[in-house]
Amino acid sequence: MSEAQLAGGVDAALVARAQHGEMVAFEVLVVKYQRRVAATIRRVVHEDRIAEELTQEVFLSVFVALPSFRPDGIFEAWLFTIARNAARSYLRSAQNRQDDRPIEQLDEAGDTHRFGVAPSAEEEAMAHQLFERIDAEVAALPEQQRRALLMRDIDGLDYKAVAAALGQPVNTVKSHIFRAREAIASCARPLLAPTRDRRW
Amino acid sequence: MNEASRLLDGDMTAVELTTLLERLKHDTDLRDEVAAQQLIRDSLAGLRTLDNGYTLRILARLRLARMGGT
Repeated sequence: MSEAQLAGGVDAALVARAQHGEMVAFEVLVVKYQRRVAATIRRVVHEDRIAEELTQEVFLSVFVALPSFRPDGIFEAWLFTIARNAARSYLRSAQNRQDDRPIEQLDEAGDTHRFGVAPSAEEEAMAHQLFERIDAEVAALPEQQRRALLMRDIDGLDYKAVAAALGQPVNTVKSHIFRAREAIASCARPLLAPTRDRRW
Repeated sequence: MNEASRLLDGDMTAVELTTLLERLKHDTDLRDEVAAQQLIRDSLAGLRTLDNGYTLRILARLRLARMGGT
C-alpha cells in the first residue's frame, strides 16, 4: 500500500475494505453519516420513528449493494441518493402508510430494538446542555482557530483551501483545527460519558 | 493531530488506516473518540441529536442481516 495520503479519499478506502469483509470499516461509515442520513430522511417523512427505521434500511441496502459499488464512485453521493429514494418511496407506499402504528404498539410488538425509544426528558436536557457547551466553546475559541474550524467543518473546505483563505501554511491550519476540536471535545466528553453504553 | 479527527478527515495514509481500523475493533476509547468527534462536526453543521443507541441499532440490523435474519 502507498505511504501517500489516501488518494481516493477515506470513504473510498473504507468502502474498499468493507467490500473485502472488514466490518469495522463499514461501521466507521455508519458513524460518520448516520445523522446526516437520518436528517435527510426526516425532512421528507417528518417523523422520527419512521426516519430511524428508514435510516436502518438505507444502511442495510448500502451494505448489501456494496459489491456493486464502483471504485471510482463517490460513496457519499451514492448513499444520499439511496436515502432520498427510500424516503420518497416510503411516502409513495400505501403499505407503509398502513404500518403507521403508534410507538406504544411497536414497543409492545418487540420493535424497540429496531426503532429505539423517544429520548427522556433527562436525555433531552443533557443534549441541550451539551450543544450549549459546544456553542460556548466555539465562541470562546481564538479567532484563527474558530475561522479555520468553521471553514473546514461548516463550509467543507479542505485544508489547502482553508490555508489559502487564511493565508497560512497548511500545517498551521491543521494545528488550528486540531486545537479547536480538542478544546470542544474536552468540554463535550464529560457530558457524553453517561451515554457511553448507548454509543458505538 | 488526534487520530479520530484524521480518520474522519481522511488525513492519513493507507497503512495508518489499516492500523487504526485494527485498533477500532478492540479499543472502545478510540471508538468513543471517533463518535464524539463526529458528533461535534454534526453539531457544528446544525445536526443536534445525541446518538442514544441509534448507531448500535443500525449495526445490530446489519449483524442480523449478515446472519440471515431480517
